[in-house]
Amino acid sequence: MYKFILKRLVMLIPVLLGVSFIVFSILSFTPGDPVEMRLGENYSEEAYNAMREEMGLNDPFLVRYVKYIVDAVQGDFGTSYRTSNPVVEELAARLPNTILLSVVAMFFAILVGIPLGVISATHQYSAVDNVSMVGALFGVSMPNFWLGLMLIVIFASGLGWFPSSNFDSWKSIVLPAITLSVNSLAMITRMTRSSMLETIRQDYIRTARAKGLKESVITIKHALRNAMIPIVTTVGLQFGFSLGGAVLVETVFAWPGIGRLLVECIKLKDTPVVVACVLVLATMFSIINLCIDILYAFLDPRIRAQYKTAKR
Amino acid sequence: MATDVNKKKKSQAAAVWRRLKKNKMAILGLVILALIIFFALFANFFFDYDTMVIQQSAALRLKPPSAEHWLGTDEVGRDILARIVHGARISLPVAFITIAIATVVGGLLGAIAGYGSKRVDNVIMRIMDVFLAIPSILLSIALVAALGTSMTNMVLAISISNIPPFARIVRSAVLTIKNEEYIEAARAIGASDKRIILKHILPNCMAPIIVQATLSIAGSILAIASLSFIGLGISPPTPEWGSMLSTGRQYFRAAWWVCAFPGLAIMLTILSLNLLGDGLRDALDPKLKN
Repeated sequence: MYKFILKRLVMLIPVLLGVSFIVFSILSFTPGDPVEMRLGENYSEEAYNAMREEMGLNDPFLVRYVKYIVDAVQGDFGTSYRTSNPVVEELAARLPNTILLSVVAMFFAILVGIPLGVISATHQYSAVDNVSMVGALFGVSMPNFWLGLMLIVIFASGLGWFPSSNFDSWKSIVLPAITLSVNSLAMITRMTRSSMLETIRQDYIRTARAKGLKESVITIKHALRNAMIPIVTTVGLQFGFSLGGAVLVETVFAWPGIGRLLVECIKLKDTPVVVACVLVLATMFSIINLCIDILYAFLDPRIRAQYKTAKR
Repeated sequence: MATDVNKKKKSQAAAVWRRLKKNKMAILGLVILALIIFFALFANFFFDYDTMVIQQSAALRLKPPSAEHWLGTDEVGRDILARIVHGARISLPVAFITIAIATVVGGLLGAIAGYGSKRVDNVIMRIMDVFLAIPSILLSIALVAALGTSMTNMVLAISISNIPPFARIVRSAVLTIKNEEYIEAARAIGASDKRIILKHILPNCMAPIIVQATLSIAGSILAIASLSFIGLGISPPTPEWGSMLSTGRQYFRAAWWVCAFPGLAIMLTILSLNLLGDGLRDALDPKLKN
């Protein structure tokens, strides 16, 4: 088991190196002179050359990349062109907000999506099932930034229940989190339903029922547990996607997270911050995927056994 | 013999169509999509581009939906319905082009990986893994940020971010097919690699490609709208749905219709493609054959 986790962790390294290489190289070829970005309008040629040397822009591309990686591993992502602050500080200020938003959104999606999917499966073709499936269909197809705007019109401007921006009380997270969760909620509901529909037709469910177990015990303990694997996959994938979706949702709600920082810095051509933002989000995405693979082993004794025998 | 092959091909397509026809949701998707394409094709017949989509009119600023302007007017007095209908002329072709590029490039890479030596396979697939480690919308954003904001760069960015799934699908299909007996037979009668890939392997892995392409077009439409929404895609005054939402953002608290309807257009298009894609998946899956 540990060997498996270790192996997956080691496999993460080349992927992250690759990601950083791609992001670093595409942004190194970005038009626009970073030296001018930092010096502003008026500068002497000496100041320009000194700054160019200081920023290490005279080095060849690969040297700069290796330097960047060596620094990044030590937690130094360079200096923002825009504020001249270390990029790490900018990220540290924003990252917790993005994580908070994603986690709350996923919690909401799981808490509503799984029960809804279970009910839809156990009451197939009932009113609840039909309504939630049509809802899920729309939820999957809805652009989340549009949903965000509509929620603002209804609940912020119209009813005044929740604020549409600012970041002060728990109320300010409600609308962004719901917006971010809707796509995931829809996917989780659909996946739970289809996975449950498959398991509740199995023989062992009939056996459990024949033994006279309570229907709730059968549904939760016997069916849902066995239906969990595809659901967990979906949850993990959606969690990863929600990091991408956060970029748009944060823009709509002026949420002070890493996604909005990314969009702002792209417009201002603040390359070090952009590279760092993409790297951090991609790393989180990869780590989430890794966690899911490990979770499989806990959920499915067959996979666990596979690794035990492989060890011998 | 040639006619035999044709006949068989036809009957296969007919069988798929027969199964698709039974799926009411898929047909609904197909009908919605056909309607959207119809309006996009004949947009100029319904709404003149210059006078209705681009021309501004101060007197008609932010008028709510009425008999004259079914979906209201925007902040410079342009008819929103006209702009949405013309917007389909941008989103749909751009989405088709991006996915066509991604399908061809990804399919080719996947075919090479699956059919080639283990080393080639490893190199290609590890590179694809790296691309898959970045959420696709993020990859598109980073690419557009690097290349600069323009329609061509956006097409390029969305195409690239869609390549890995196609490479994966085609590779796994090729891996399962390449050891089949009919491939061995083709090789035994002296068919070239090119012929085997193009005539025997590709036609047999079309089903997953078609499904992935349909669903990817939906994803591409969302990506186009998303990029334009954050100002990295198609910019105004071109009537693109995402950029309509982006400019409408400043006014939508007082005039909800400027944002509501372009978003509905995006949703309806994606919905129709999702329905069709899901239906095709079931119709093309031989395991579900009765």
